[in-house]
Amino acid sequence: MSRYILKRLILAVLTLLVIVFVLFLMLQYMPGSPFNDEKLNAEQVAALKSKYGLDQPVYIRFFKYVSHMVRGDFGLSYNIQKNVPISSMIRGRLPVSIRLGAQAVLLGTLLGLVLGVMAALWHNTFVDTLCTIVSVVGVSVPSFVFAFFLLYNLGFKAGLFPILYKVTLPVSSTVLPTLALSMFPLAQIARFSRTEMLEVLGSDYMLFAESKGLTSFRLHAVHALRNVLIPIITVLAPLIVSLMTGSMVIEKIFSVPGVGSLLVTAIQSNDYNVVVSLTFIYCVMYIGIMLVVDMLYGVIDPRIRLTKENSHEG
Amino acid sequence: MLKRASSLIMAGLLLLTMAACGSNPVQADKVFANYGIETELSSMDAQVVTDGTSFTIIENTTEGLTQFDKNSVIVPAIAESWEISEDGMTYTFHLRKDAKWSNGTPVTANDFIFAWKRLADPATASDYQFFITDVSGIRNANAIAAGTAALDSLGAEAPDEHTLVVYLERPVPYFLSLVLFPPMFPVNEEFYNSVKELYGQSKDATLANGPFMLTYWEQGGTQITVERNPEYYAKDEVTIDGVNFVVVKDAQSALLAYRNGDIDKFTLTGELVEQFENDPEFSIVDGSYLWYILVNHKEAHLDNAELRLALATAYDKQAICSGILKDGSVPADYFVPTKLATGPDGKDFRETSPVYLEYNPASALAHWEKAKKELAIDSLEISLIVEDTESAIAVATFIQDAIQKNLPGITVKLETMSKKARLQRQSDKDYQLSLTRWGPDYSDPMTYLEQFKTNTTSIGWDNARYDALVDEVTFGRTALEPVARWEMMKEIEKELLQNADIMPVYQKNNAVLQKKNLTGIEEHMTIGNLFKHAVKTTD
Repeated sequence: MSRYILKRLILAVLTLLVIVFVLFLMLQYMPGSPFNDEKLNAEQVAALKSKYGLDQPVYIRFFKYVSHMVRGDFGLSYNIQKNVPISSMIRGRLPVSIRLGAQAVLLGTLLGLVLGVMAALWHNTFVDTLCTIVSVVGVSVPSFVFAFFLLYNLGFKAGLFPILYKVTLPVSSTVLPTLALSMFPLAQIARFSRTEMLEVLGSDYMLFAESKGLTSFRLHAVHALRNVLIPIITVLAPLIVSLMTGSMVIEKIFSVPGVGSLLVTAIQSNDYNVVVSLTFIYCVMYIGIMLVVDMLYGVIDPRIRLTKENSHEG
Repeated sequence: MLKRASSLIMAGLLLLTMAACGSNPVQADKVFANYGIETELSSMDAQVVTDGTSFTIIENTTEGLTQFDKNSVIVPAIAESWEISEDGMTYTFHLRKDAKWSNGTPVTANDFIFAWKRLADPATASDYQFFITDVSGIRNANAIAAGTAALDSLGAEAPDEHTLVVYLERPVPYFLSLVLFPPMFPVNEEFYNSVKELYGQSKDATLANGPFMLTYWEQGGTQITVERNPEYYAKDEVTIDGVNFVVVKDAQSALLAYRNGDIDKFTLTGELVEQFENDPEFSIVDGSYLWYILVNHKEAHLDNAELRLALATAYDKQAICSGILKDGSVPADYFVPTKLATGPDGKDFRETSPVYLEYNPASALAHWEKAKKELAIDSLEISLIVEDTESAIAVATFIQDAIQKNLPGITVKLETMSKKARLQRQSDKDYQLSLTRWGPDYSDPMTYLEQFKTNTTSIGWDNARYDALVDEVTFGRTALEPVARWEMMKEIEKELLQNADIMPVYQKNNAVLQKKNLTGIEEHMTIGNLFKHAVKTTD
C-alpha cells in the first residue's frame, strides 16, 4: 500500500509541474497584458514589465516561479491587489470557501444519504416519491435560485439569518449559503444512495444475512450501507473539490469573502501569478482528495485492497 | 427515525439562529453609515492603487494639501495657506501645525516630499506615475522617472517642518486640484520604513491623517470599517462614528440588504433603475466617465472626415441613455463632461462651449453619400471592438444597428473581448473603432483634451494644429492667462470633434438609493463619497 501511495505522490508532483507549465504557456498567449491601462505610456509599461520580470522568456519565468513556489512564495499580484503577496490574498479567502464547501458537502451528503436510504427502505411510498422530487429539483434547479429563495424568505422576510456575510457573525452568516450550496450534493447523493440501496437490498448476500437472523439495524447499517457507500464516494470526490474551491455565484449573492470569484477576476485582468497560484492550489486539492478517496475504497471495501496488494506482489 | 432526524435539524437551525441574534459588540451604541460598494479594497497605498473603491476609502482617511468644499471649490486642508509666484512656477504651502497622523506624529512637509518621490521613483512602478511626471509639472519628475536624475533632485523642498516649496517646470494652473487626489497624498516616512513593502496592505500598516482611520480590514474581506480619527485636526466637524464599506456584488442582494437596513446607500444597476426611479430615496449622481468611440486614423477609409462624420451622427445618443442605460446617463455631444471644471468666468466649461456631432440621420446619410464619392466605394465593412460587459455590449449593439440602418451599405462587425484584450488591440493600433471611456484625474478640461498628441496614443493621427494648441495651453504663455487658456481649450475640443476624430457617446451618471436619514455625503467629479460631514439620524 505504501509503495502504491508513494507512486501516486510522485505522479501527482509531475502532474502539477506539467499543469503549471502548460498554464504558463497558455497565459503567454492570452490577449492583453496586466499593464495595458489607458493611462500608461509605453515606457511605463516597459518599466512595469521589467519590475515584475515579465520581460524575461517564459521558461526562465517558469523555473523562477517554481523555485519560489516550493519555498511557499507564490509571488505578487500585478493588478488585482497590486504588490500584495498572493499567499496573503488567498490566506483570508480560501478558508472561508473551504469551510462553506465542507459544510455544504457534509450537510448534503448526510441528508441525501438519509433520504436515499429511507426511500429505498420504504420503496414506492410517500418517502420514495419525496426523494425523487427532491433529487429532480435539486439537480435541475440552479443553486442561485435556491440562494435567492432562502435569501428572501429566511433572510429578508423571517430575519433569521444575515442577508450578507458578516464578519461579526461568522457562524450564522454561512447558514444560507451552505443550505443553497448543499442542494446539489443532497439531490445527487439521495438519487445514488436510493438506487444502490435498492440493488443491495435485492442481493443474495443480504438474503443470506437476513436468514442468519441479524437484527434489522445491523442488517441495514452494517451490511447494506457499507456497500452503498462505495459508489457514493466516487461521486463525492469531484463534488467536494468543486464546492470547496468556492462557488462564484453563491459567494456573489451572499457577499461571502471567498476565493470563488478571484480566479475569474484574475483571468480577466491578466494577473498571471494569481491565476497560476489558484490553479495550482485547486490541482493540489483535487489530486489530494482523489488520493484520499482511493485509500478510502480500501478501508470500506477490502476486496479492492486485496486486489491491489495481490497485483503489486504479482 | 424521521422524527428524530428532523428534530435534530431543527435544533441545529435554532442554535445557529441564536448565534445570529448577537449584535456587533464593537459597533453597539455608535452611529455608523453603511455604504454598499461593488469591489473589495485592494490596498491603502495611495501611490499604488488605481481602483475606485480604494480611492474612496483612502480619501476618507487621508487628506492632501487642499480639499474641495461642498460646492467643489478648492479650500485649505493640511496646507492652511499658500502663495503662488507671479510666473506660476513656485508654490509655497504653509502646513497646519495641528495636523497629525493617527499615531500622534505631526504631518510635515517631508511627508509630502517623501510620497511624491515614491510616486516618481521608477522602482515604485506606480500606474499613476504620469500624474507627477506629465501632469503636475514638478521639476525633474520626468527625469527621475526616466532614471536620469536622482530622487533628491525632485523640485520640492522643506525649509522647515511646516513649509513646503514646490518648483514647477512650467505653469500648471490646475496644480491646486492635483494635490487633493490620492497619488499626491502624504506618507509618513518613518512609519513607511517600519513596514516597508507591507505598507498599506493591512490596517496595522496604514496611517490616517484625515477624518477617519481604518479599523477593520481583512485581505479580500467584504467588510471594511473606518472609524473617527481622534487625532484629526477637525475632528469636531465629524458627526458619525464611522463608516462600514460593505462589498455587495449582486444587485438583488444589495436591494434586500438596503431594505433590511444593512446598507444605507448603494448604486443601482440595470432593471432596478427603472423600478425605483420614482422612489423618494432615488437620486442621480453626476458621473464623470465619458464613453466614446476611438477611431484608428491609420485604418483604410477612416482618415476620411465625411465617413467619420456620417458614423458619428448616425446613432441616437438619447435613445442609448434612456432606452438602454436608464441610469441617468446623458448624451454626450461633447468631450469635456459637464460639471468637471469651472472657468475664470465662474461658469461650467459646458455652459459656454458649443455642442458637436448631434444625432441627425439625414445629415449622416448626406455625409455617407459624400464619403462614398470621395473614397470611390459603394459599401464598407467596419469593425467595432467592445469589452464584454453587459452595458458596453448593449450600447455597441445599438450603435451597430443604428449605423447599418441609417447608412445603407455599411456593415458593422462587433468584436467582443475582455477589457484587457481591447486595450491591447488599441495600443497595438490593431482596431478600426473601439468603444472606450475616459475618467478625469483632475478638475481641468485638459485631463480629457491633452491625450491625443501625435504618436502618443492609439488614435494614429498626425494633427499639427491639435499638437500646437495642446502645447500652447500646457507650456506656452497662454498657460498663465486664464481667460485665453479657457478659450483655447474650447478650440482644442473643436479640433477633436468638428471632424469627428473621436465620436462621443454618453456621459455616465449613477443612479443611487440612499436612506433619508443619511445626509451630507459629499460628491465631487474627481473624488466622491466623502463621509466627513455625513449625518445619520436614528429615525
